[in-house]
Amino acid sequence: MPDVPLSELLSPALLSRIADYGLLSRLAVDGYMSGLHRSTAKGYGSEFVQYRGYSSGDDPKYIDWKLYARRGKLYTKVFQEETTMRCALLIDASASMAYRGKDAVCSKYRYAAMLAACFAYLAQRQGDRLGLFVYADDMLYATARGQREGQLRRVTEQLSRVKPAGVAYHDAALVQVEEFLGRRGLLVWLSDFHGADDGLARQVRRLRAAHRDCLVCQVLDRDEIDLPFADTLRFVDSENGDEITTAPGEVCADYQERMQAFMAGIRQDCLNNNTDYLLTATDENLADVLGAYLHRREALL
Amino acid sequence: MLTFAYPWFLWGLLALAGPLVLHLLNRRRPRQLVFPSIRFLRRSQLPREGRRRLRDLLLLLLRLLLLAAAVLLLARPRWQAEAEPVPDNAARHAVFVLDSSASMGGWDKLPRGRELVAEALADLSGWQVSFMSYAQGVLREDPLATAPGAHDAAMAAWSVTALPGNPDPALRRAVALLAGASTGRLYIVSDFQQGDWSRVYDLVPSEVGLHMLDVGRDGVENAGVTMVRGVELPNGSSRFLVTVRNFSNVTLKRTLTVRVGQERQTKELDVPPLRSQRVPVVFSAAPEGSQAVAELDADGYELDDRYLFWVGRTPPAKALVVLPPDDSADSRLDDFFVRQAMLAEQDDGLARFEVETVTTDLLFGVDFKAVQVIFLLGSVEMLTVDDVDNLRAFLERGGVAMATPGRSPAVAMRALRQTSLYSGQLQGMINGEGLGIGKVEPDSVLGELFAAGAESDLYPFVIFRHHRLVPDPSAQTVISSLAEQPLLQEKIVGAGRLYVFAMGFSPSWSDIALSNSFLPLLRELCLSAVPADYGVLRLNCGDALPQLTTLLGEAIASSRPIDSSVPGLHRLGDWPLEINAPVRESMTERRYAADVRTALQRDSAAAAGVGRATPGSGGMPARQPLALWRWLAIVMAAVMLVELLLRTALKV
Repeated sequence: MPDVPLSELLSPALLSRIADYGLLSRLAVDGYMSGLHRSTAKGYGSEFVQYRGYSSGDDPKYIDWKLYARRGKLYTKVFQEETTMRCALLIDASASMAYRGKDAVCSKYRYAAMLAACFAYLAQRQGDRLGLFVYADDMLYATARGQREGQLRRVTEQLSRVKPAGVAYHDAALVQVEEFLGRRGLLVWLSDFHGADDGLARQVRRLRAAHRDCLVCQVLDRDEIDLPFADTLRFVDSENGDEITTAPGEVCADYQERMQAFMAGIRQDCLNNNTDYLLTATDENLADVLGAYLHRREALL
Repeated sequence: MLTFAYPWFLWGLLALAGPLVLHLLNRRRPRQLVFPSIRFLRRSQLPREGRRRLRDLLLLLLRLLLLAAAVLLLARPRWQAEAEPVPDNAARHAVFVLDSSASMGGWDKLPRGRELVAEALADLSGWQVSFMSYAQGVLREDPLATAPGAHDAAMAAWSVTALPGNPDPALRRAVALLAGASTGRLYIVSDFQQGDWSRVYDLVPSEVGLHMLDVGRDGVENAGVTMVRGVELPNGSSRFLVTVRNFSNVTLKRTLTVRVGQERQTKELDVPPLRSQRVPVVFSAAPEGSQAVAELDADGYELDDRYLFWVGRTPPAKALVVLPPDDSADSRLDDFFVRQAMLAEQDDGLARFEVETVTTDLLFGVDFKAVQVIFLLGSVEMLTVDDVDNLRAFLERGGVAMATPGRSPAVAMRALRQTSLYSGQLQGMINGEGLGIGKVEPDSVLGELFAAGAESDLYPFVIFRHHRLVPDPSAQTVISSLAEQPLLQEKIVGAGRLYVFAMGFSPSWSDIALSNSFLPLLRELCLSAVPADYGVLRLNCGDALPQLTTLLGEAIASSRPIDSSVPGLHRLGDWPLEINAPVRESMTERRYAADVRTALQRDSAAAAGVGRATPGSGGMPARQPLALWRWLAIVMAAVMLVELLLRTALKV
C-alpha cells in the first residue's frame, strides 16, 4: 500500500474525528499570552481561585462588594489566568522506526509522524507554541525558539523529509527539548522506546519534577508484539545489525512474554510519574486511537 | 500409443525447470528479516526441516503437475490404440504424393524432397509403393510396385511445373489407392505453401498413417513482377507501369530491367516488406505488336522474376447498333451520329470501339458475348422474346445497352416491363420552345463529367420534343429537362447497365448529337462495359484459355496451339495473350506440416465410431484416437483444488 503524502496527514476525515477535543494540558503551564491553559500566574482569567486583600492599584472591578458589605473590608477576587503553552513533539526516527509489518498500513515512523501531525494541528489551533524535534543518533531536526508563522506547515514538511536510520539516543534528544519547553510545557514523545526502558523512568521523573506535562506514545508494529512468523528466519537488528536465526514458532511465547514485560515496564514508569501513556500499533486506525485518547484525557482534566 | 496434435508445445515442459530451480534456491538458507529489535528473541533449536520439506515438496509436486498438465493440454494428446500385428502376407501399401507445383522450383526444394523420399523408402522394405505427382491436378501416377527401379524412375520423372498447386485431387486418388491395403501409409512431400494448402480438410481416414515430409524453408526472401500495364501516350510514346511485389518480411533491393524490342531500361528498387511497388517506365518508341519482358535479378525462386507482356494496340471494343428493319430516315441519322461518336479517335487513352450495325430481324445470328455495348435505336419494340432474354443475359454479364424511343414506345416499354428489365413508361410527347437540359444528377455516371460549374456545352442546346418518361422507381434519373422531366434513366441489371432515353439522337428530336457533348456523353456511358485493361488477355499458368467468338458466333482460335502451362506470349485472333507465373505460388507463407496433418485427419475420428470399420477402408479395423484433453482438464481442476486446500490447511 503506497504511503499517503504527509501533506495529507491532516485530512478532513482525520481532523473531523479529533476536532472536538482540545489538547489541554493537565498541568498549569506558564504562558505569556492568554490562552486556554491554566497558568500558575494568578490574574484575571475565567476561573476563580481566591480572595485577597485589596491593595492600592488593584482594578476596582474585581472588588467583591457583597463581601465588603458583610466584612466591612475590601477584598479583590483572584482568578487563574489562562495562557498559551509550549508544546514539543519529540519523534524517534531511528532505524527501528522504519519497520513495516505485513499487515501494517505504514511504517512505525510514518504512523508516529501522522500522530505528531495531529497533535501539531491541535496545538496550532489552540494558539500554542509548537516545536518539533526529530532524533536518532543525533538531533535530525529541531525547531528554534520563538513562535513563528506557518509552524504547522513547517512541521508536516519536516516530518515528510526525514528518513528513519541509525540508533536512537533518547537521553540526548530530551535535553534539547527541555531547553525549548522552558520552565513548563507539554512534551509529546513518540517512539518505540527500544533501548530506552532503563532510563525512561528517570527521564519522565525529571520532566515531572520540572512541572512539565508529558505524553509518552509508544508506537509498535503488530509483528513486534505478536511475532506471527511461521518459517525459520534470520532476524537482523535494524539498529545494531546483530543477527539471530531462530524459529519464531519455537520462541514465540517467550518473546511475547518479554515484549509484554517491556511494554508493561514503560507503562508502569509513566504511571508512577503521573504521565500519560499511549500504546499504539500500526495496524490500528489512527483516528480511533487518537480520538479515544483525547476523549479520555479531556475527561480526566 | 500416445500422440500429440501439436507436439512442439511439449517444449513447454522445459518450463518445469523454473519452479524446481526456485525451490532448490529458496531452501538453501532461511529468509532474512530486518526487525526493529532482536533483544527479546532468543535462539531456538531450529526445527527439523523434514515436515516443512515434505510440505514444500508436496506443493511443488502439485504445482509442477499443474504446469505439466497445462502444457500437455496445449499439445492436444490423443491415445491411439496399438495396431494389430500385421501378418507377413498382408497388403502393405504406401503412396507418395509429390508436390510439383511452381513453388517447389525454388530454394532446392526438389533435391531435398528426393532425399526425404529416399530416407522414407528405406523403412518400406517389402511394401507396395506408388508415386503420384500433382500440380493443379494429378500429373503422374505410378502403379503400386516394389521394384526399386520403378522408384528411381518415379524420382527421376518428378519435376517442377509452372502451375499452381492443388493437392485435393491427388490426395483423394491416393486415399482411394490405399483403400485395399491392410496397412496404409500416405507420404506427402511438399513445401506446404499457404496458398496450396489453406483449404484442404478431412481427406485422409485416420487409419491411414499420414507422414508429412516438409521440404519448405521459412524466412526466405522472394520478390516478383506481378503485373505490367501499358498506356499509349499522346506523343506516341508508351508508358508502362510495372508492379513488383515483395513477398518476404524484409525490405529487398532488386534491379528491374524492362526490355521492349531493342530498347531496355533498368531501375534500382527498394521494395518494402509484404508490399507492392509500382514502377513507371516510359519508352519513346515502342514498336507495335512487339514482345516485351520485365525482369528482376534472380532470387531463390526464379519463375516470378520474369513477366512477359505485349506492346501495342489492343483490339477495339465492339459496339452493336440495332435498328428497326424498316430503315427510316430517323434511324439512319441515329446510326450515323452514334457511329461517328464511337469511332472518333481519342488521344486520351479511352477505349477504342468498332461499330457494327444490324437490324432486329438479323439479331438472332449475333453472338452477344462478342459485344460490349448495344445501341437499341428505336428498335426495342421489334425485339423478340429470345432477343430480350439475350439482352438480359448480356446486361447481367456487365454489358451496357442504350434504348431510344421508336415508333411504338408504349410497346417497347411493355416488352421491357414484362421481362422486368425496366418498369418505366414513355407516355405522350412534350413539344415546345425553350426545352433544354436542366440538371445532370451529380451522383450519377455523368455527374463527374458534367459537374456543376465545369465548362460544358451540355446545357445550351435545344430540345424540340421528347417523350414524357414516367420513371422506374428502381432506376436512377441521370438527366432531367428544365421542366424537371426525366430525359435519361439508368437501370442497373446484374453487372451491367441499361440506359433509357426519352428522345432519339437525330436532329428532329434535339441538337444534342450536333453538340460537343455528344461524344463524351456516349463514351462515359459505355465505360463500365469496357474495363481499363480491355483488349489484353492475361492468364496465369494453368488457367483455361478463354473462349472468344466473333460477332456471328464463330470461335476465335490461335494459329498455333497454345500451351497455357508455361509462361509465354501468344495471339488469339487479334487478341494478345500473356501467360505468366501464378502469383499465388510466389508467396513465402507456409502452413505448419503438423497443422496440415491435423486438418487432413481432423474430423475423420469424430465421424467414425471407435472400433467400427470405416466404410471403404478395405476392412481395416478403425482404431480411432481417443482425445485426452478433457481428462487432462479434469486433472488440472482437481490438482488446482488440492493445491488450494493444501495451501489453506498449511497456511502457506
